[in-house]
Amino acid sequence: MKKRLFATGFTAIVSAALSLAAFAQIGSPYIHDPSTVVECDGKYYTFGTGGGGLISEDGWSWHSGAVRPGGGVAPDAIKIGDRYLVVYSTTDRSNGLRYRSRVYAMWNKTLDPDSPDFEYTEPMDIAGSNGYEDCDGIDPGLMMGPDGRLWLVYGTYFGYTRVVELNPKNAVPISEPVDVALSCEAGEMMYNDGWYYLLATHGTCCSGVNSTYEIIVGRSKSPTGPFYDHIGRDMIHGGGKLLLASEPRRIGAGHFGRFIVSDGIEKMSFHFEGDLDRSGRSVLAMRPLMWKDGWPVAGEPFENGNYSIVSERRGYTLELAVNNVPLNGGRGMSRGGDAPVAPMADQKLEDVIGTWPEEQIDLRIGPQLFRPHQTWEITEVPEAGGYIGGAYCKITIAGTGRALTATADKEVTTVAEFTGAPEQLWRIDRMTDGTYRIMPKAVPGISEELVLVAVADSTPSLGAFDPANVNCKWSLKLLR
Amino acid sequence: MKHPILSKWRILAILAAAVFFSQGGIPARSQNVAASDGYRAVFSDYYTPATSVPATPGPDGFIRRWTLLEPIAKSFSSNSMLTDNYLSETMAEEYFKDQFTIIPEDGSKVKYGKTNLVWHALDSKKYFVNLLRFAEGYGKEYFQQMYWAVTIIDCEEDLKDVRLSGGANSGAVWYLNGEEVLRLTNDRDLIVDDCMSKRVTLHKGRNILRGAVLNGQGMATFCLRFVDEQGKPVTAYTVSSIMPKKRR
Repeated sequence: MKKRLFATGFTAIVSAALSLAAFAQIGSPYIHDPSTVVECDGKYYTFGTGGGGLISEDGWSWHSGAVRPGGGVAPDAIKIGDRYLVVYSTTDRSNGLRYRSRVYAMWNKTLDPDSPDFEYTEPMDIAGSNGYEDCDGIDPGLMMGPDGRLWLVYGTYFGYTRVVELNPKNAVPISEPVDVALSCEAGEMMYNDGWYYLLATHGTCCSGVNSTYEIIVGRSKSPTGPFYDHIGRDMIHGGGKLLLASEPRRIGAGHFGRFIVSDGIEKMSFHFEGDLDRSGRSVLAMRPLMWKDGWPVAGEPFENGNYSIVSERRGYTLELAVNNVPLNGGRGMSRGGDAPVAPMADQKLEDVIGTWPEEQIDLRIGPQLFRPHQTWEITEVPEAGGYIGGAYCKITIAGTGRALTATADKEVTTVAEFTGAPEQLWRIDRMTDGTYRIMPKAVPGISEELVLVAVADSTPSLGAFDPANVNCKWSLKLLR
Repeated sequence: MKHPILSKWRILAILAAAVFFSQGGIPARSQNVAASDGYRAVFSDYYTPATSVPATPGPDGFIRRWTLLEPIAKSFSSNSMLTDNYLSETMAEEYFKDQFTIIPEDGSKVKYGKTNLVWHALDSKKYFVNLLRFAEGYGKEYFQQMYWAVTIIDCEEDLKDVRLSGGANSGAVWYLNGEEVLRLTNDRDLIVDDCMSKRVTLHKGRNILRGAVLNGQGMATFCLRFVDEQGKPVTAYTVSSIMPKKRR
């Protein structure tokens, strides 16, 4: 963000229409240039341009209330040890220099403004631009490498984006800045599987619903570059592989931040500069962050609909353990000779539901036939709250109230009607490989986190999550 | 795809069975068996007689010692008929006295209708139990049959939160200590860890695992083992069959 400071202290308004919940954070997620989301004592925080920021109890519903002094633009935050390092930047135009900007760092023991330990240290000047060089020293981003080395990236469209190493104990620079990219904003770095990635934005900033902001990425084996895109173009030559741009009704994706939920589950935070469903405001957004062929991939927002829930273990689909009612017709091994050919109707719910028990029906995993007992409607339950990046869902047999539910014996079954009980609410996280983790909000009498697993090819259950275990992975195939 | 009944093979099987009965049995202690050299060889590829010395599951955990009942004919044309309802109705019938409580002795008989069926205590040489070869070996029809199996599991301590895991060709229902714990429906193949029970406890002392496998056409097999929470084989128990006193 460079030319326009958004007004601070957005007034909280009534949350967006419930139908929007699948696509954006709910509550009052109004922010520009959000910092990387950081968890502190069970709450989530992000800071924005102009000061202040957002707090969320669950990572889904956001409200103003985070406190960051210093004003300025485009902060970032990271937890190091038991402290939080917050950086932000300001530009001093008092002497007529348009790009004399400084990056400041300050520490805090907590991000909770209500905590007695909440107290920022004095802002410390750690990097910037002198106003005469091809760099505008704002938009700082922090990264802790796998070796414990701390890196700061900063810069805007005015010249180069730079990387400098900081002492992780005090955030004091311990290297000379290195130019790594040109004509980027909102730089952020991350490390994954032997590669350092430089995320940044290209496109027009600060134009609201007319912004062309988009997040691009390059990678390098070194935190100081060179960072190349997927066609081998150096980011210092303008290269960058597109990670995420605008979506329908959400315009101008920028200011990437990475949030690792657990091994195998990551989220990316950013803003859309203009949300057409929310008066064109700039809003915090989160998407699944996946990895493919060594490159980050932005997952699409979850969409309510009818799905096959397919186990990655064998490729079979979750189904009610009911009698398989055969379709009438078909010719088996016969080719049918010269008989006229006509389309057959799909099996319909009303064709089979009368054969199902009325109360509890257990589950199995079976070959996919696209039958009613295999068709699941997954819909968000807005009043049930959410988790980092998503809202809890109910999973019911399409056309019925029959709901997937976790049981006290650490198994899964279905009950005749959805009641909203926590064991009937499901958290659906896209994993970094593109598959899904499906986890009940609660399991009766069980404190440990359990997820839907295929313990056998044909048998679902609940078990501990292991991102390396294919039993924990599911694909959701949207049925049109 | 299962092949339709091949009548010539059925005829051959029946002829072989006649030879089988006339020449003395496999294993030798069984009273009503006989076999051609061919059937004797095939049978011995799959089975050895169980002994009075308790067996242990191998590292893979599969239970190889079973007391198998000579098959009971059932009439169903396709394994796809082995639905939940069909299995429920089938297992609700009484085929022989004390079918859910009997701990059969090797060589003992039960009466099914007017027919005496013999229990055979065997050790499978494979990780799975080949029921077709079992029936064939004892001169019995092997298509459209119901195969009962029982084994005794002795534990030195409770083994909690284990699962009975298995595969079958095709339908099967398994009971641990009298309770149904695992059901395999529809047309299935022999697949390791195809289906699992809920978490169960193998109690300290004696546990009885019994069940029935149904198959229409083609190969008839099953495999079973217990696994832990991580899906690893559970092997800390012994498996045995009841032997006649004279062979103990």
